[in-house]
This record gives sequence, C-alpha cells and structure tokens, in this order.
Amino acid sequence: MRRLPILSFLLTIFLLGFFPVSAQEFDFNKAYQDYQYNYNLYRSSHIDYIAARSEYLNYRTLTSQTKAIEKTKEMLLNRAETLKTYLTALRIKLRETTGITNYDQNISYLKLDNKVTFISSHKNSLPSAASLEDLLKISTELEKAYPEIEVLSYQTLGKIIIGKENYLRQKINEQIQMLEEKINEIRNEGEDTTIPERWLIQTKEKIKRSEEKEKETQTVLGKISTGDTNKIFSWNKAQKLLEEENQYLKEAISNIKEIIREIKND
Amino acid sequence: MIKEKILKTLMISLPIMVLLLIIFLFVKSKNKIPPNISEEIPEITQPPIKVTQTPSKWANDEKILKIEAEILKLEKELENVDLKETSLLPPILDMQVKF
Repeated sequence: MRRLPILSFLLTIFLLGFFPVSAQEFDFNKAYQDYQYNYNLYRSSHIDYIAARSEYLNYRTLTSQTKAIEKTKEMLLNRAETLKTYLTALRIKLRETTGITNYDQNISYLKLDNKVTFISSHKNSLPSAASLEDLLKISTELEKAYPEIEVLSYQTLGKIIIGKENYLRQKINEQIQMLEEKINEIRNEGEDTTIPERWLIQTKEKIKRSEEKEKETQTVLGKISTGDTNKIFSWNKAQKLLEEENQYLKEAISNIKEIIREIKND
Repeated sequence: MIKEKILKTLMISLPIMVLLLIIFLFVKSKNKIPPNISEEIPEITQPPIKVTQTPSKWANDEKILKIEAEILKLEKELENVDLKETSLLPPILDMQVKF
C-alpha cells in the first residue's frame, strides 16, 4: 500500500512522456513582437540618454558623469538588442516566405547570421565599459558596421517581396500552361481557337514584362551601397518597380479570365 | 322713361347674344381638330438588347472550371499581397553617439 503513491507518481510521469510538450514555435509574429518590444525599450532609453548627456555636458559633475555612463550604456544595450531582434525577425520572415530560391535564402541567412553574431559580441562587450570613452569606443564599432547592416536589411526585404511576387507568378504560369493544354485539346476537336490563342500570347507577354520588372528591381536593390547617404530613395524606386510588376500580373489574370469567358461561350 | 328704354333694349339684345353664342359654340365644335393621338401615346422605349451568349460545350468542363477557380483565388492573393512591408523597414537608431 505504501508503494501505491510512488507507483502512481511514476505512472503519471510515464504517461506525460507520451504527450509531446507543445513548445511554442518561434515564428515571425513572435519574432516581430520581440523586436517591437526592444524597439520601444530603446526609444525610452534614448530619451533618458539625451537628458543625461545634456546634464553632463552642462554641469560636468561626477554625479552627472556616472548617470551619463549608466544611461548611455543602457541605451547602447537596447540599441544592439533592437538591431539583433530586427534582423532575427527579418530572417524568420525570409524563412516563411515562399518563392525565394534556396540559394538566395541561404546566402541571406549567412549574411544575417554574421551580423547577428557581430551585434551579440558588440553587446557583450558593453557591460565591461567603465568610462564614457570606453562606451563611445565600443559604440563606434557598431556605427561603422551599420551602413552594411542597413544595405543588407533593404536587400533582404527586397528578396522577401520579390519572393511573394515570384510565387504568385509561378502559380499564374501553372494556370497558363493548363489553359494552353485545354486550348490545344479544343483545337484538336476541330473548334476555332484563334482568339483564345492570340489572347494567350498577350497574357504571356504580360508575364514576361513582370519578369523584366523583377530584374530591374534586383538591379536597383543590388546597387544600394554602404556609401549611399539616402538608401530609402533607392528602396522607394525598387518598390515602384515591384508595384509595376504586380500590375502586369493583375493584367495577366484579367486576360485569363477573358479567355475563359471566351471558351465558355459560343 | 329711360329705364323702360334700357329694359326694352336688353330684352331684344339678350336673346340675340345667346343665339350668337350658341352658333359660335356649334361652329367651334364642328371645326375641332381631333387630338393628335401620336402625341398622347407615351414613347415606347425599347428594352436594352440583352446579349445572350449561349454556353459552349466547354462551359462546364472540369478543367476549365478548375482553372477559373484557381485564377479567382490568385486574383484575391494578388490584391492582398503586401508590397510595402513598412513594418520591416530598418529601425531608426541613433548611430552618432558622442559627447
């Protein structure tokens, strides 16, 4: 009888082992929340840093200096964490987006992981800084590397959007192929398919134009360099091209709908 | 005397005037133009010609219907695709920390 509680406990443990613990998967939403949380912390600590800096520059007292060190360190830690969580969210978004080739994905993973490792190392070196000079020296490391991180961010984001468009184009192409097979079948049965065939050629032309826009986007994204003072301008240019690409796909869809209508009616 | 004269004139002229009025009305009624029927009939508007297309023998083709359904699905996807991803633009960070 004494062994009964022990046995029931062991049985419970044994049975629990059969049910897998539903570990919360670290998906994009979770990563994005994480990034937003850290970004808010950064913004708040940046306000404190500005105030402490101003106080120190005005009074130059030991108290204000200690406060400036503390607030600067806190802000730099949050800045590093924000950037790290941002790149992580970007990486997960890249993973969850279909339409990107494995090669492109792996190249981006490698670049993003390198930057995350660098930021982690930078963040780890911050707590040991004992003076403002030390902090500024460590801060410069990230500041120098930041233009590269920015370029990588825009290029990765571009890949994500291109991937989405690419996926949709692939799907439309599949339908075009199926429609072409059907038109051939109809023609083989002796029906006149001149109109649907001509419209299908025009539809394929739209797809071709969308591919051209994608290539143009890639060229614009590839040209964003660390030396660009205003990278957002290039990004906006790329985005305009992506919208044009999307418009061609919409026109292709509209054409296919007309072809179907033509086939369905005598 | 004058009163009697006026009364006498009225007695003669009144029946003449009434008679003239009757003749006038009679003549008018005879010369009356029949109303224009075409004006009274409201204009008949022709109903819009409905282009009725007869469905072809491919109208219910399984393959065609499948393509159509897929295309409608893709159309919605194209409409809703986020091409901006503004939430994933690089964060604005202070990269000029100095004292």
